[in-house]
Amino acid sequence: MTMRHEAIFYHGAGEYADAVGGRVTAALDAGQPVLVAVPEERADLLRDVIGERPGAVEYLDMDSVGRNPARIIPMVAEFIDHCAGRPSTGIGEPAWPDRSEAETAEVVRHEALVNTAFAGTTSDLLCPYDAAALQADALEAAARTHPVVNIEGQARESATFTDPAEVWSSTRHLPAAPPGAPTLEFDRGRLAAVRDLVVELAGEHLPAARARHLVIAANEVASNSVQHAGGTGTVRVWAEPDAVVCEIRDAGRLTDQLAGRRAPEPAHGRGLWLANQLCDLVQLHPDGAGTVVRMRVGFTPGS
Amino acid sequence: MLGRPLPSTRYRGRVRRNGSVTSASGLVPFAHLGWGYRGRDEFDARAAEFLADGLAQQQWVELVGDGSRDELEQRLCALPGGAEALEAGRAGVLPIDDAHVYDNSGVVDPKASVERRVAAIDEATGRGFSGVRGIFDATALVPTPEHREAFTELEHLLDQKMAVLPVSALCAYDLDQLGSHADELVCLHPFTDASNGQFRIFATGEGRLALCGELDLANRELFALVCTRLLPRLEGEVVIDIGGVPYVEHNALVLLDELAARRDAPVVLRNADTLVRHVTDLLRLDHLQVAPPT
Repeated sequence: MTMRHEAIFYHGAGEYADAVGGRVTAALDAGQPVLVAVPEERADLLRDVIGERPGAVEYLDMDSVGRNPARIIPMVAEFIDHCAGRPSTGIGEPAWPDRSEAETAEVVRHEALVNTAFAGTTSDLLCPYDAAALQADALEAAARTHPVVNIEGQARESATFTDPAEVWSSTRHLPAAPPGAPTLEFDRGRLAAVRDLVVELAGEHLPAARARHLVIAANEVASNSVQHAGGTGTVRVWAEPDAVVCEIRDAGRLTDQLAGRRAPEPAHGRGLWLANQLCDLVQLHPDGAGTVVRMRVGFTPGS
Repeated sequence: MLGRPLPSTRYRGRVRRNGSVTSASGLVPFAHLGWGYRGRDEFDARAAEFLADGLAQQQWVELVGDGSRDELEQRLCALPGGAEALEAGRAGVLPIDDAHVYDNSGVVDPKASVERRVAAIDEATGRGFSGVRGIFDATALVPTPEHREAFTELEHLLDQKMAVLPVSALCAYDLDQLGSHADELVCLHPFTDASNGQFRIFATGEGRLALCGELDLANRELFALVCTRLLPRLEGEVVIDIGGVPYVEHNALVLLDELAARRDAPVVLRNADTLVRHVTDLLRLDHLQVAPPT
């Protein structure tokens, strides 16, 4: 048995309950551990279908845990690790209509990387897509990132499934930073200045704790630039109507597409992972000869 | 210039008096000051400031360094007021070899050395002095990592005593000889010279430390070295007050967690910013305890 990554296109609550609830019930009947990570109102629909099965299903609110799509893979990996090789089923609904363009692009990249991250597992990873509410291009992207697409109860191979690495590389929503955004070049001795720059603007626009989240994330990513990308980088920070954005560019070549999406390991890899946990969105992209990391923290979590 | 602590750090809790200073003056009645100096002139300037305050406080002042008694007396007499203090029996000298207890390699025995220094305090107060003030040039005692590791414990144990006993010390390290290795020992003092710019980790009691200054990549190696030398040598629960740490990178927390895992007794962070707890929770650093806000 191998990993199955399937997009389920649904129209309305009834179809959701039938298509997704049916798969969960079947998995439970087969004795599989089940993880359900969907927006809370969708979880309520599934609870109605599944009924009382105490402890059988682990529910997570995707609106919270998956706000930054880069947090989803480590979360699913932990679930699969706990299954210790047993077949399991994960329901993940990372796309919803009011996601921003930048978030939606990162959802697409996340879905592509799911194929890479869980290639060797024996899990069914099923991703409901609200076909009635999502834009057509979101559904087209789902078909490119899922080897199997289920439409009106019929599962078939996706004709447009695309190499995950290519999707990851070609999907991008990074509008230019606003001209005049405060900018600073940094090296090992200027990390405190990076933090000062971020806290000055973030402190003006965000609650204190949220501002500190962005400061920690910026420090971690800037530290990576110093350690792994030639010792220097450039930080830029600006405010948007509902968030503060910090961008760090360096000359490092990004070779690991799953960077920051694996559970932290003792020797390395905690910095970007931590940034993913603290920010509402982290966009990590190759950029010319280097790398750009754009981090966003909203006024409230998820804004 | 007064040695008033610079207002460089905001504290979330109450902690022993400490700070970065631009001179050795004004640290009265008692203080433990670490200083990296360049050249005899800078050493003598700080020694003169420390001597003057000690004499004014009716403390026994001792110049401790590398060299014979005669050589050290000449150096003391060259300081303003030094000759008069020596003549009046209010100040003296001590060759560094006699100040501490060493093994055959010249590595200091921390615990035995502390006993010797505490006995010297009792002796001085028995003679009517209000306390003891030592001006140490410890450069000759710390040429290798092995020497510095042992001296780390000595500095800390002495610092514990200085938190409660009538004793002060100016611990000077020659930057021309030690380079950045001087930081490994200077940072163990509650007061340091402002040009140092490093964090400080010092005693607030037995098993109690305070940490001040920012911790990031720039001082990651130094912090790891100092903590790896110090924490395994401390017995029982270790409580570190980090109310004076405006920023701590996660690597420092991971290091403390790893060191805590190797100990029989806990390592506890007090007065931590709420985000420190958030980060240790995210990283599941289960060995390092973060005390709830008080």
